Amino acid sequence: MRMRRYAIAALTVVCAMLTAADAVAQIQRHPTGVNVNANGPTTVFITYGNLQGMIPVEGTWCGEVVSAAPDIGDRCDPATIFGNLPERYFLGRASGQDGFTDIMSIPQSVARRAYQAAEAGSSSAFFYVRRFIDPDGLRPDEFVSVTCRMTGGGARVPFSLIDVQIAFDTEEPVGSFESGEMPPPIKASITYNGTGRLKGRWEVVLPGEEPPTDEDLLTEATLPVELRGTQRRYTEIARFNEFLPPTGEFELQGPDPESLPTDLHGLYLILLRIEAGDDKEGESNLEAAGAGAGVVRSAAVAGFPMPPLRYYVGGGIEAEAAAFRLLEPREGATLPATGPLPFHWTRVDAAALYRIEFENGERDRVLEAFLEPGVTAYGAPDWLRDRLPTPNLRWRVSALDAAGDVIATTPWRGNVIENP
Amino acid sequence: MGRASTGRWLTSLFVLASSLSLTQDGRAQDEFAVSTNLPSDFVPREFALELTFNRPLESNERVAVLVGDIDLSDLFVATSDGTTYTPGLVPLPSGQNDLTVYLVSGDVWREVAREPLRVLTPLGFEQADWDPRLDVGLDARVDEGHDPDAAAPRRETYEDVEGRFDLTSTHVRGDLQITSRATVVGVNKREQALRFGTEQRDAPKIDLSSYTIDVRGAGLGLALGHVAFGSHRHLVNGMSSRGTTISFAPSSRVDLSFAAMNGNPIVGWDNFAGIDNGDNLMLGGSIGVEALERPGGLRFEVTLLDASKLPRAGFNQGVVNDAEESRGAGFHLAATTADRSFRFEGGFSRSRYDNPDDPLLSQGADLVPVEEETKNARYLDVNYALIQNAQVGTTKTATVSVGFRHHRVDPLYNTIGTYVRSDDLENRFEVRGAIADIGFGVDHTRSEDNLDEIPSILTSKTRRTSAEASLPLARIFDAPIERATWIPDVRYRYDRTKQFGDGIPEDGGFNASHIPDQISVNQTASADWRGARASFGYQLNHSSQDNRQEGRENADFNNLVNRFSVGVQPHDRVSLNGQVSFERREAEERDEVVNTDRIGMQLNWTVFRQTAVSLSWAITHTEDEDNLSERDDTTVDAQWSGMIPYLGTVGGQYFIRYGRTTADVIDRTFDLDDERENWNVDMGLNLSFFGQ
Repeated sequence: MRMRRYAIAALTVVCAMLTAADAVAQIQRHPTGVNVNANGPTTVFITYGNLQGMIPVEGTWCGEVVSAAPDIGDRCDPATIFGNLPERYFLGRASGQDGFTDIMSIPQSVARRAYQAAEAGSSSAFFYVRRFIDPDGLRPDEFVSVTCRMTGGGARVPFSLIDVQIAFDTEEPVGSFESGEMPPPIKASITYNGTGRLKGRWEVVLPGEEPPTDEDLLTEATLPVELRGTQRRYTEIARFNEFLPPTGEFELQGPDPESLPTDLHGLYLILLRIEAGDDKEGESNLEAAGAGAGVVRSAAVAGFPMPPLRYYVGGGIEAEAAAFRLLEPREGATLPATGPLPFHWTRVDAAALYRIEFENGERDRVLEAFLEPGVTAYGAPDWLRDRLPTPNLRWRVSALDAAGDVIATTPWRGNVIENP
Repeated sequence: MGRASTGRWLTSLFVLASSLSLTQDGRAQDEFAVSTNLPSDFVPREFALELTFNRPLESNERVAVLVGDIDLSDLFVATSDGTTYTPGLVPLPSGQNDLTVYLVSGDVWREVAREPLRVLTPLGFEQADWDPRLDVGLDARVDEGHDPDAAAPRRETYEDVEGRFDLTSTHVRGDLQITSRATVVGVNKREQALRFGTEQRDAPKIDLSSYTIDVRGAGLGLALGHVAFGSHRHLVNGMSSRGTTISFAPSSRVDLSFAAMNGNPIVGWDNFAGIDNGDNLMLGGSIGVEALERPGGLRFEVTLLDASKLPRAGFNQGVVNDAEESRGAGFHLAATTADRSFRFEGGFSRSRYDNPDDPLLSQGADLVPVEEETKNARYLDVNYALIQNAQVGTTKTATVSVGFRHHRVDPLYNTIGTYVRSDDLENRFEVRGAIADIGFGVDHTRSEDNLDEIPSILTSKTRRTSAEASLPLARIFDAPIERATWIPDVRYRYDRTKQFGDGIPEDGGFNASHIPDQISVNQTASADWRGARASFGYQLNHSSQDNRQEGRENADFNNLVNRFSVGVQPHDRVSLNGQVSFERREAEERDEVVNTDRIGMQLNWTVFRQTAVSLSWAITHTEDEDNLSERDDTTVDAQWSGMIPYLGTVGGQYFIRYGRTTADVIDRTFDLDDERENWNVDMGLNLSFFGQ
């Protein structure tokens, strides 16, 4: 009898120790809960720690969780599944001390399902449950959940990019320019959640250079901290650092078109390189996740690589055409209401002819003139002023070669005619 | 009177008669007159124009000749009694234009003759231009170095071939105009193919980058290739993709347009017309009616949309997206008064939206179905000019307008035709104007979400106020052009946003610390000096983010950016640009201050007529004031390029370039110390055909 009591006591202690060991071994995560956009996608940087050899498999969103026993943690209630993390958004990777960095990109259709459930009276909170398995199959699966709270996608939601489109100020997806020609302006139309500083660099991949990989094109905040210094760099043409208020849309102006190289023939790629910034909501505490020490900043996380913008430069021109510039009058200068209207530009030795074009404020051409190659100035007629419905005028000069083809064009320059 | 003198008299009479017929007001304003050799019927584009003067030009006089709006004066060659132009590089423009002759004395242009010029066209077209271009390039990485081994590139040395074929054309005949453009690019390495990102090993090495064919005439327009459609703010707005649009204007007051295009922008030979995939297709149509004779006076537009989209990103896009279907209708009403002092725009749309089954999302699981929803959106913009072009002093004017904008987008409203932020109610009040060249604007916006007032979802309210001013000081102070260079254009913008939660939602997993209460202020001031050969710019930006909610009181951030730029062109063949920036960010909760300093420089020097050197250098240093982290990045590129001589009509270019990047990252918090260096020498050769 005594032996039996000892045996039961010993078994109880062993069970208690095993349970305690399980509790210690359980995978942790940070953040444990996040505010998300109820009417659009959301991306969040999550760190899991204390994996002890467990490997992540699917990530699932659902309206309710139930006990995963005999496995560990809470798994999704199969009747309330909103979706699984699509493969194209899987950017997770091992990180830190026995940790795993996950980029949770919630598609809009998942938020829509959660919204409709809330509309029908359920709790608006839903869950992202990541399942971890033992590759040897000896230990039970572990389910780790993160709570998603439904908001409007503004302040208090992690600062993340959910749609980035980069384009020239034209309709064609790939730019095609002549050597020495000034490309049109570039802009990046960005849709985002949260708020914060968007900072980084515009870089260019020159002809002959090895293009970047998808890994190079991820925003820095999408990578685990130890990989952030390893992305390949290219020729830097401009730096940006802009504040994005919690209003969801922003148009990032590209680099000065004059800084875009068009001297070499071949294919160029313009890269939007976004650096990690400060955002309290996007912080991932490695200590809290059991993946090391320190807080990882992840402002401007994105569930996709930044799209490169391609342009091709061709045509046979002489090198000096690249230096073709307008001189006087300077950008924005006011021209007199009476008297001469002189316009000056630099010389291109290879030019067989120059063409100067004038447009009014509505971008309609009002005058064009062809000039001999030795001429680098044009005196516009006095009646040009009368042909402008508003005081605004813009002009540019093109150099033509012996076949009549444009070998270099200056950018447009805007001026204003003084009121008489 | 002899025979010779009789001839001179007849000649003089002819010149006089010609000048009488040519002078604008039908009378000889002075004794100068011009006659031309233009026949009454059509002439070829290469027709040599001859102008004969009735007297020699004075020393302060010259003759200017325009065909339409084209000034060809400089291309005319003086003859003993006039001037002549033999078209070469610039043929006479096809169709009918006025040939106008001016006598220029000093700065005064006086019209002395005007005559119709009718020019024939090749092949029955008034204009028929084909412009092919072919570029083929060989690029090679001839040497490379890296440290450590982890910094090794995917390919250490290589030779790549790439090419582009570009064809543009313009054909004009009467009212009919046909323009086209197509670009095909090719590479020898599949990893560099245009569509490698989406097609991987199936990406063709030679692929269609883009094409457009545009046919217009008799009020009808047809466009194929890369097209755009839509002008309804909440239904379909400037959607741009591959497909077809047809526009038709049966009268000057009615216009119709139809579009069929791919669901997102694409490149490549596949789906050439853009309408091959019914699951990724947008169909749209619109009709616009001008109710008044005056265009824009009162315009009414109806737009219809039926679209479906697969979860694919557009060619230049990165996005978190879904499979979608939407169908909707919208109307738009716009009106302006004749003097444009009052403008009105309003619109309403109703869209039915659904997310069809997406196996990439379900991955075999039974998902909670998405309910198809039909929702509404509306907008209203009103603008009134309180003061319009009022005289200020002797030479300046003033214009001041007030405006009101409103929109309401239902929760779950969505459409494939444009991005719309749903569940949003916004009202904006604005005042804008320009007084004596000083531009200004002030606006205040109030918005809120959770319009269905679902108790478990957070309601956020936003209050945003912004103000801006533009001061072109040279214009304001009427500085003469030669001194204006030294006087900057100054701009300032202030933007304050307050966003806060309206209570704690029930049963949504929230506590007080999850509810936002934040004020952010963003200010930017800039000054720009621009001269003929030098420019200088300075920009100061400061932003602060003040979090006030429970548990976030100290989670505030401040950012300060000082940015300088300078551009100098000391010689026609040399240009130098430089940028210096200093960024400082403060995280108050962590008591952390991080500084980022950058210097960048670009030099372009055309050493000889056919040879150029360019140098680009940038160094960025980031360091926190507690010395916990530090990062240095350097990029350097030096390039020598030139044209290959003796190739005749084939253009050739070569280059050699040295590039070097270094990165040194130290982070003591994460125990990181990573130092990398890569350098490479690239060479290239490029041939251009047809472009000479």
